[in-house]
Amino acid sequence: MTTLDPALREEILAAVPSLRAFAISLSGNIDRADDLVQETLLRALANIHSFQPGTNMPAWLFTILRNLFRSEYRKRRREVEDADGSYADTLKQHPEQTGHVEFKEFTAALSKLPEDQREALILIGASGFSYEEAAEICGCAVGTIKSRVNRARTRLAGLLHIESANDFGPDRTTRAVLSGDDVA
Amino acid sequence: MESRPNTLKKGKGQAALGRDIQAKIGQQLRSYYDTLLEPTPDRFADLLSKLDKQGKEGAE
Repeated sequence: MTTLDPALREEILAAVPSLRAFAISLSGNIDRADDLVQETLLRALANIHSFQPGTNMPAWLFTILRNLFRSEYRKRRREVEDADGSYADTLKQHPEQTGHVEFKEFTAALSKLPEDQREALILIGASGFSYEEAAEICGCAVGTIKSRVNRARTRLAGLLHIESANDFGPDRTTRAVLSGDDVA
Repeated sequence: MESRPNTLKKGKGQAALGRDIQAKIGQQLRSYYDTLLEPTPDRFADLLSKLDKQGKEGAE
């Protein structure tokens, strides 16, 4: 093992807040997320020679963490059937965050997404990665990421009852009928 | 950090949701994520320092 280049150290530390938020989003559990981040940093330092300086440090760290989570998740799934229940622990563990109704609802909706869709949506919509970077992190095709993100958005829109402001759907018609606008 | 190519074009599958719905979800998603973002806990900086020190000693 060689000493860690201070510039690389800075790059790693700069990525930690987002890496941790990603870990919480994946696992739904703050303690597990912190363990995941710690394990990711251990692996990253042990393999720092395989990181090419100048390339994408956040993507490299996210890949490590995602793979760790996946192997752990597969193990846990064999033991624990209630994946939703463990995800919901986020709320129990962070009472100060449950004051926000929107946060609560969003977390609940997010927990209902399949794992693949949730991670794709977070990487693209929140962590700020490009579709190409997300595809690399998840080890799949760019088109796969795109379709997962689309399905995740559609599902979330349904779960959160988000409707288009320009929607000429039944609501508008119903209102018109109820208010008697077009009725003699 | 290198700049990210912003070459993404609206794909075929993207027509399912209106732009305003996508914007609302995007905004909620970012605010959810922002809630989770915290400055790097000291334990991680300490961990890196510790590992680095071990590495140095190991190299000598």
